[in-house]
Amino acid sequence: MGGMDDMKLKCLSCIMVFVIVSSFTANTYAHNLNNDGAPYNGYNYNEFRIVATPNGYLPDRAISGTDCGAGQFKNPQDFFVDKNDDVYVLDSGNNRVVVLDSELKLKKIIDKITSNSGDDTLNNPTGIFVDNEGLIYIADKENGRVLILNQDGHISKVFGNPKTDTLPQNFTFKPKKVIKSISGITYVLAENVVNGALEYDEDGNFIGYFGSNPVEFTLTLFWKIVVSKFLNKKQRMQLTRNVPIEYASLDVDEKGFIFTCTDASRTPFPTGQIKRLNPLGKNLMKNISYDPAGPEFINSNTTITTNFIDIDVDKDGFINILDSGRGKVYKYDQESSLLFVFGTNSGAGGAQLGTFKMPVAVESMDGKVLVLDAKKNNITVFVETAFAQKVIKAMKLYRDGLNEEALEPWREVLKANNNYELAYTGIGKALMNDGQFKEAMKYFKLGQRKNYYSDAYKEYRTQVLRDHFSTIMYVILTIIILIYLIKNFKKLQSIIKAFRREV
Amino acid sequence: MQRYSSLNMGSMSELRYLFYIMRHPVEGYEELKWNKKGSLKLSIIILLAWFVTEIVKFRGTGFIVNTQNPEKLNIFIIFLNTIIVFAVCIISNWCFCTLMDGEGRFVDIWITCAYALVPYIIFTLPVTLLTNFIVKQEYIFLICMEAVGIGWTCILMVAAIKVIHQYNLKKTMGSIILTGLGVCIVLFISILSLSMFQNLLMFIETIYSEITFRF
Repeated sequence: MGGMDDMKLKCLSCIMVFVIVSSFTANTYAHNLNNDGAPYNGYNYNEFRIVATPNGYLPDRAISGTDCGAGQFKNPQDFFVDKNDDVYVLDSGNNRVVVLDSELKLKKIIDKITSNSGDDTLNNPTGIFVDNEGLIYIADKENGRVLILNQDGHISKVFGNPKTDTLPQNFTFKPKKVIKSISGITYVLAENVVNGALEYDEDGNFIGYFGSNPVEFTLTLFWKIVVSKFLNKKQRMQLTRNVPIEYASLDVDEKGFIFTCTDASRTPFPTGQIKRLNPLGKNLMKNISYDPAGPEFINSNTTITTNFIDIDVDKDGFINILDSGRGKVYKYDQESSLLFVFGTNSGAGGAQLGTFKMPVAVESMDGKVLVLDAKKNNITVFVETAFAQKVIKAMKLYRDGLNEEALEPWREVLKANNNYELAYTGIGKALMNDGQFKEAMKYFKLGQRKNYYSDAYKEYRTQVLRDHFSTIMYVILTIIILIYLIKNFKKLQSIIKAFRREV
Repeated sequence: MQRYSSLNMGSMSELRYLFYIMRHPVEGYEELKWNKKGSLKLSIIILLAWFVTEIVKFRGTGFIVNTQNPEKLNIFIIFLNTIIVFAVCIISNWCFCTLMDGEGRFVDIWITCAYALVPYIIFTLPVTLLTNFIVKQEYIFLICMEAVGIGWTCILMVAAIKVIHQYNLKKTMGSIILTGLGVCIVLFISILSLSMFQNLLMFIETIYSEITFRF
């Protein structure tokens, strides 16, 4: 009896010790700190989950107005890097444009805006653009006009209210962003204009609209359409109108394609958040079957929501999008693959280098990405890491179809980061061009690309069947003969017996 | 309309009877009802085979068509989706059909519906195997094969309910709809009771922590 109780006590104590110890060790899997000192961790999205990656961009320094000798910025709303790598900062609170060179040292300050009839001032301008001839385009929002200045601050042209019947009578023109493409057309984003961007020609005449967002077709909209059939005219006028969401910002690349970003995170189906529009206004950005950064965009957290505020296309054709809600910059390529994510809003209330209080604009220079912060009144410079250089080198070759040359760069990327699915696909494509189908299949499986895997498998299957054709045919023939023999066994037996009897 | 089958089924083994039902549903089920040829043991085996088929389908379909995350295989969820759902459907069917003057016993409904699952299993297993050896463009053929399996199973299910309760076709469809409704009711009540249970446990836990902090 005593022995049994002893045993029970031993068992119980063993179990308790096990439970206590396991509860200590259960939570101690350490998050692998791969951030190289930056206040954010690098990550990317694979087919089923989020994976850690090395950081692609690290914060290098922050330049404020006093750092470059121009006096403190005050609520700067936008900036632009022109083709000579000069940075034009639109210092909205101080009504001036501060020009810095590529090292972010002061070049000049344009604070006097002169016109033919005397001096002029800006009033809360929110957009700036510099074209290839050096003309400065400013979206002077509260003054309701787009100014085109020479390099000395003299007003060259003014674009005003587009007088058109398609806009309501009491429409006030408030341009927020402006760009000019090489085709000579100026595109203006104005507040409360939902039909797209306004197009102006060289002389400032309004030509038309460009590329609006479609209205998202949701169940409530469908219900509204059904119900409105039963209402008379007066009641129908009182229904709220479903209008498309305005663009938040736009940018143009050297080929003349317009890139727009919209904050569509409030709709149930966020699509078209990044668009690449051709001159006809048609969206060429590939529709991705799963949104790589989907969980962040669709997540409706009431305190932190995604808010796309600016888009920039760099010289290599990669797209940087600034999300001011989370303080992150997403770098995509034009095939909608997410390359890097960097920056953060949290962390010491924006005091730490690499964090933001209110980011408003993003621009890129060679190997660097600049983010303008309107509350911190400075520009944060992010520099490419070695990992990012490897990835960009491999991506450029892969994107141009040079799969063979991209093989080694992709292997370099994989050496640095095993989780990069794109790298596996890149290597798989190179192997497939080479004719190594079985290896290519393996890599496509790692890269989770079912289409390419299917193609490689087709080739591999043909190859195997061709190599072993004779063996397969012999086996099939033998099986057929065996089946025939077994089925007609009795009949054959009697035939043989009859044959023997005759003989 | 009652009719007695005139075929002599005395010598047929249970397995051959199963395949006979697949080819002649109404006659086979009539045999089951009047001559008690159904076997509970075989129906349990079929249900387990269905469960295993679902697991194999989850993990074994080829990479080209498999959309499931292999890390998310949870056999308890699959068990819930197959056997528990089956049991709830049968119970709900029995409840409603008793109210609608059906003549089926619970065991008979169980056995006939389990026998109806056989075509699905027979078609899905080879299809799952073949998905490992196809190219994307050939997947449509496998979809057709699987659809045949599912369709056959549905026909057998309808025939089962019709014969077991001796309904005409209209009443069969009505009872199927009511069975669906019954499943929803069961689901609703189980979720309600689960959340109430959770509330109760939280209540007990709060009282316990209050007491321990006070003394």
